[in-house]
Amino acid sequence: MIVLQVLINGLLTGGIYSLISVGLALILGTMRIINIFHGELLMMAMYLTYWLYLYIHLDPYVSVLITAPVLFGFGYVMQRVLINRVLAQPEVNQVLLTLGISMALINLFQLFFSPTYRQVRTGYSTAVLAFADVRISIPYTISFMLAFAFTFLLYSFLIRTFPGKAIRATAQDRQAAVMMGVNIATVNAISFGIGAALAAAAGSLLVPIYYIFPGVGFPFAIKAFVVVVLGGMGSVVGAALGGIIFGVVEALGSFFISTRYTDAIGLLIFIVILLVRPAGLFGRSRV
Amino acid sequence: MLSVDGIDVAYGVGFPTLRNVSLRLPEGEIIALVGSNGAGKTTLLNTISGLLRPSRGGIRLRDTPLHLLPPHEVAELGIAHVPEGRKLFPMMTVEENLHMGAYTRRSRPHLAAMIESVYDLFPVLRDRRRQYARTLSGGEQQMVAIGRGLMSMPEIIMFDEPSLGLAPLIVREMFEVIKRVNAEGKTVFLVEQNVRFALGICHYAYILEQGQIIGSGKGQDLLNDEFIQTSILGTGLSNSGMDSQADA
Amino acid sequence: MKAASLSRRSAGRMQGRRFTPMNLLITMPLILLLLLGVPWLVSSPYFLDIVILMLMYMLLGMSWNLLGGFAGQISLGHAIFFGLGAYCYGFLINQHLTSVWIALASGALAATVASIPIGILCFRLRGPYFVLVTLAAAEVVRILAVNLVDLTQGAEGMVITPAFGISKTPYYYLALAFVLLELITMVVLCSSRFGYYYMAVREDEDTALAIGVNPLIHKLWAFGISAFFAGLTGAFYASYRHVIDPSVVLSLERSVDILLGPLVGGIGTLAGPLVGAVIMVSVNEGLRSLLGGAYLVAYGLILVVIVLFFPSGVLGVTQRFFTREAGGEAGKADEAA
Ligand SMILES: Nc1ncnc2c1ncn2[C@@H]1O[C@H](COP(=O)(O)OP(=O)(O)OP(=O)(O)O)[C@@H](O)[C@H]1O
Ligand SMILES: [Mg+2]
Repeated sequence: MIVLQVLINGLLTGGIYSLISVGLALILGTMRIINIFHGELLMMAMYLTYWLYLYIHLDPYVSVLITAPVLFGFGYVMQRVLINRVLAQPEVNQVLLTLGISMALINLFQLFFSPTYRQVRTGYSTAVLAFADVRISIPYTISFMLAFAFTFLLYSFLIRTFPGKAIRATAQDRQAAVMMGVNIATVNAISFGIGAALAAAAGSLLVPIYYIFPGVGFPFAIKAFVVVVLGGMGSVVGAALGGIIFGVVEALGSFFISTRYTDAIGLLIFIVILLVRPAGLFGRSRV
Repeated sequence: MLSVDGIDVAYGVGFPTLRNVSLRLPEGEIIALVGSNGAGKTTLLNTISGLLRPSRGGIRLRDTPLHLLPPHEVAELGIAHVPEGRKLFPMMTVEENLHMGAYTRRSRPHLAAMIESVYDLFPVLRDRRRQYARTLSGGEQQMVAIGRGLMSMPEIIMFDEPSLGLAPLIVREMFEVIKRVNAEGKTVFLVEQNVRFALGICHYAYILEQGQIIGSGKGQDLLNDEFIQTSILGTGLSNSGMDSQADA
Repeated sequence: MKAASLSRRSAGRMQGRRFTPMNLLITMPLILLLLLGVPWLVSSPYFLDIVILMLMYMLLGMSWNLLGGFAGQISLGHAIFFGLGAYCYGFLINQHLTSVWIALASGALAATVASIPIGILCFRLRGPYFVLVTLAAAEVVRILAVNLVDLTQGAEGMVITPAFGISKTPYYYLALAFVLLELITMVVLCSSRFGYYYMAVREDEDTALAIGVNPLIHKLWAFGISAFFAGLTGAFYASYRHVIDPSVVLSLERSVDILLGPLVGGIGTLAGPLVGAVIMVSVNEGLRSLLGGAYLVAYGLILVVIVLFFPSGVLGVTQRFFTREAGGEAGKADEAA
């Protein structure tokens, strides 16, 4: 029974990992760039959510409607102004650029808003549904379901709409996409914006169940990096599934080994899987 | 009418790959471009598409200077490019590849009708519509590439070695399709190594060698030209000659 | 140029070796003489400390550069080896198991040994994925170091018996000797056929394989040698600072600091890490005393500025200034590819 409990907890956390990873995979797929400040997008959305709660008592779940568009804009502009300029440069420069942005953002927030941990405690923060011995946290469940919904929305966008297809086409063959009349610069900026919006959504969904501090994003980003590699290079569907698997494995690992190693266990499992399947778990997929 | 006027194209700062290349594509005609491997044929097509910029000279579609436009705007003007090696979107279905063909604003409203006409042109594709492009046979992939080019309802369509790697029978079929496309009023720019076929169906042809246009003329005249037969198209002709013998 | 964007593989490749080994060997004795006198010239312990820091970052930068610059494998986890060397040294000294010298060598060897499994693992991935996995590996090692309290004293940090007393001068000479050792190793490596192999691997792994250069073996060699010097530096650091903890020796910031030197100086050049370390440590110290808490923000922004405006490092910029052709380098590489 307790294992079931652990599984459910892992699954629910995995939903959030999925949402973060999917955005990262989208960016990686279209631009072949690793966005090291992905976690800071999440962090900024968490602060925004916190302030919206503090000053206008907006429910964290509702504030997704604000954080996602705001961070979309931020991501779009960052891509146009900074990222776009290194796309043709060697990898190391791309990595360092996003790393530099990450460091600047973390420390900027630390400087202005102090490293203090903050939290938003809503009426439902500790609510649970109990079935026999198994207790299911309500905010975790809501976050999971919303995360799932956002991932599904992204999937539909990529499969059904013309802009979505243009993003996929660019990821699969950039030059051919250009020949079809796709404006790559716009596609890149939009993908980055969407990736940022998804990270923002994840941030808002985390607020009722997590702490807020300047460095909060980075551990999530590292997990998302792992999930993206697990899910297969730049595959959105792979990242979504990979996120869930990562959450479950991590929960099981920390239950059977030790909670002190929670953060390391997922990464270790990842390394083991890498030995077996360097191309990721799922291979290539449509999106 | 599209005209290429004395362009030089270089990769990096080295010796230009194309030098002083000029040619014209009059409306409604099939113009062939032949030349051996590495002559610069693909480079020329990529330059017309806007993927490369000429360092000298210009390209004009009527009065629009194409060489100043980004590639997606060139596509928007009705110039389709069926690239060398097909370059399909491997993890998209046949139908999605065709959708991408109609990505331009000018063609998007006609998507449904165009898809039907492509399926009429290549009935096999209708059965394969849900299949991923990378799982298709070479011939089917070429059909998708051509269909994708037609989806944009182009005024001018450029084919880069459409017969490459195809069985002789399919090659014939492709050439029939190209003639049909032209009969519907589209200007065709055909790059081919299969010289006999290309010269056979074109109205006019240019010969590109080592980055320069070294000759041009009516297809039939070039085929009969002794100098061209022996010294320049020698290998090309005997190869395709063997093909046609094998067919017979 | 438009053409460059088509072949992204080779576009904007890192510059080749600009400083020939011969040049360096000729000017070396002069520089050496100057360097030997530094403790007399710099009397303030604060400044000598900074000079030692520079030497340390030269060691680490050259080590990273062998892998990242010459062999083209961008690691964001180089602190693993630095930290491993430091902890190995600290453990041996505190348990009174070996002498200082053997402990220093053990730190370097421990890092080298660790580099083999880590390398076999990480080199299964290429490009951006390699970067990600090195980052993840470093995070695993850091978490282990925090939690294996019996071995490392965890987050509290490990206090180590000082090796050579309180004067900084012996540490200066030790670090200087290590720098020379590593520099000579790099010069020898780069002018041997290994240098050629590394570059082949960097330019195009598939082609390298086709011409009979096994990329994995050569990457592992580069990784091993690189880890050796990073481990040695880690052990040296432990002996010098007497106290180490995971957030200092194993953090991502450390990995970033390590590659910042070569980045600033010029990646893939012999002198780049040396020049870069001097600049980076000076700027770092300057910013810290000027800006206090805001210095890390500036640090991040400087990274952004370097990448955007000086992507080939200081040496790249000065080279471009002196050679008119420099703008064409990337183009020529394109053609060769
Ligand atoms: N991206 C590139 N970078 C550098 N040089 C290139 C590039 N693409 C082509 N070239 C060079 O330009 C020349 C012309 O190539 P191009 O592909 O245009 O020839 P082609 O006539 O299409 O040949 P083929 O019949 O084999 O397709 C060749 O020498 C080739 O090596
Ligand atoms: Mg060609």
